[in-house]
Amino acid sequence: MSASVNSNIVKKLKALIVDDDTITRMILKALLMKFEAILAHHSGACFDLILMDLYMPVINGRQTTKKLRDMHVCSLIVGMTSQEKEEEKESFMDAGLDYYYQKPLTR
Amino acid sequence: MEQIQRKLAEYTASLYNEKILDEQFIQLQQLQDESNPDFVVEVVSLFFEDSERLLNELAKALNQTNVDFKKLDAHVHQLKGSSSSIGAQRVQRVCISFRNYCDDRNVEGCLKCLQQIKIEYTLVKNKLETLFKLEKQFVDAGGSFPVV
Repeated sequence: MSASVNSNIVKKLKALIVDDDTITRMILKALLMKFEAILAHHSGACFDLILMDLYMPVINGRQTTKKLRDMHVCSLIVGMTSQEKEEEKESFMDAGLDYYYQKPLTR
Repeated sequence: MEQIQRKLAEYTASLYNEKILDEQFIQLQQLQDESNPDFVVEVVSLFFEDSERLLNELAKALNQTNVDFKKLDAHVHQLKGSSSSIGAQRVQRVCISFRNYCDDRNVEGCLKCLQQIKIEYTLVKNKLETLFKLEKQFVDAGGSFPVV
């Protein structure tokens, strides 16, 4: 993994990690910090990137993504899950994702 | 120092050869730097805490008269995720089998998997603790990373 970022030219990425797993959040935070991302912890801010886990308690990633798109949130939303089932991936993408990655994201 | 370095390199190689760890652990090490010097130890410590909690939850869930397979599967899914995140390959693989037994509502299969996960978890925990001790000896002897 290498990140040659000229911060004079490239705007710092504002990223939000949506995942109920602490280990995943720690790893993603470290990965994003390598790219000089600013990590947000509260709603109301305008994010460049939202990393969205699928399986979460109460409301899952698919439902959250759909709600965000219904609210016309135009951030780049990247879905993440360890599930291999195609129909689950497709359903997640259909909710409004821009991209989808299989966990773990660092691979 | 050379002896410690050789011992560390051989021990590290054995963890990958025996498939106790996979390339995901290397990815974690690459995320560690001067601004985050204890990253790997912190993540792995959290994995140990989480795993022990989940193993207790799994044992409790399987001890019920009417096993809640949905709850059981949710715990296994969490353990599969965290073991995958740190590269604990053998733990992750047993979790995959465990989830299949949950789908089939097979209590005996689930119990066998729980025993197997405990064995694999204890193994990876001991191996990682030894790795961190060797790394500390290497650094204390004046060494610096990366060590191939």
